[in-house]
Amino acid sequence: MQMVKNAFIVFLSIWISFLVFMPKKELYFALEKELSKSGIELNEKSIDSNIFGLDIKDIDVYVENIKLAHIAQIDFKTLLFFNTVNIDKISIDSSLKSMLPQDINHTEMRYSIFNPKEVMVSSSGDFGFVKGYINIDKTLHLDFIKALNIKPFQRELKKGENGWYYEKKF
Amino acid sequence: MDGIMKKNSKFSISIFLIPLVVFAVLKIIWVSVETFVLPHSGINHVSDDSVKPLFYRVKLVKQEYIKPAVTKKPKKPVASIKDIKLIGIYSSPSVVVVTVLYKNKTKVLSKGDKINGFVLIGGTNDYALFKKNNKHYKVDLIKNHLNSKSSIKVVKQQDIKDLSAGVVEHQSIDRDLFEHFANNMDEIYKNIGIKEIKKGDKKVFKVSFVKRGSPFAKLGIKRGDIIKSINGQTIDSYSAAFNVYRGIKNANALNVVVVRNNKELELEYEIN
Repeated sequence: MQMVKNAFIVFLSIWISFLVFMPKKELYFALEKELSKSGIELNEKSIDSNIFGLDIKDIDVYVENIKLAHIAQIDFKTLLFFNTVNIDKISIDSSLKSMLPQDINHTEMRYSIFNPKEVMVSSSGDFGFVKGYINIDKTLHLDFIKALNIKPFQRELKKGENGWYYEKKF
Repeated sequence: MDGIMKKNSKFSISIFLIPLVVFAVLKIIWVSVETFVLPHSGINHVSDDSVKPLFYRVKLVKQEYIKPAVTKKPKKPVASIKDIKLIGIYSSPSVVVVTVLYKNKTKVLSKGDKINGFVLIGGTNDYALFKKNNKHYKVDLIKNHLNSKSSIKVVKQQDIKDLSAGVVEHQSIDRDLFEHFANNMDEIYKNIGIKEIKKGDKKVFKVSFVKRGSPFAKLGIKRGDIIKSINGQTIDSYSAAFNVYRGIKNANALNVVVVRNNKELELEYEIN
């Protein structure tokens, strides 16, 4: 019994200290560096780390030196076995209106070790509501659960048995 | 009793000691990772706010005091193109104006104007084209009109096409059509294909196709053209192209410099 208790204490200590001492800002910088290799740069106004995550505000997104989007807030949360990224208010440049929705109110990405091959994605905005996943094959699949204003970028979508969906390999 | 107390004290020690040791170890590990592996600052985009060059251009040779001619030469009985020295060229979307020195007097001519029987029909950065009796004459811009003469070449009919490849072409674009393309990027890509090509360290943008009968084809853009600049902005990156696209909505004129068959060609359009 004592062994179990000790093991539990060790596990709990490792888990807590791993999260608490995690250099979250530096990990975010590493992510920025990795993205910059693909020509994506993030300019943020503030980065605040907390025990379980990171809160980034007012982010300008540049792709190949072109400012293409603004994000009001990104909230990273990690419990190691369950992670979420919440993105609030994405405004995409009007020049891309025929390819992407202009305003995305909220996007959530969830990753759990119980479903290690997929990152679940859900998003809502003036286009309606989408739910989907990014899988290990680098495929993004989004089903339009509720399709509202999709006309501007409808040619990017496909129609399946369950309605409109978007799929892209990257 | 003693045994139970010992066990309890061991347990209470382990409750505090184990986490402390783990915390210390994990802290050391993370600090090491932070120090030696992870970057300490992020990557921030720095905007290129360089000033764009002006769209119009003026090219003039150095103007100096012209001494009156000392010797009087007998007047040539026949008008000759050799009497015309080209000392300046001005070009805007709708106007080609040249300054010539004729009989020691400077004269400003615009497209269609006559001098000595020669009609000005066009011009580039470096020369003007005159026409007389169905013959075309290319008069080069001189560097210093006091010491040199314009190089003059009679142009054969079959060479007119080649020569006009360098001549500034002026056309007009319907503003509604222009705004339609300025507001719908995908409409551009339906009508014209532009591919990025790397030339050493530099990037160039080559026209891969132009849809037959499309507004772009009517404007004279051809497959294989390398787009060098638009309204003075050098097109050497996606961001440069995108900046032009963004700022072009309110433009009154469009100036596109392309390289075609290794020759630079300027296309100028008025937006009405």
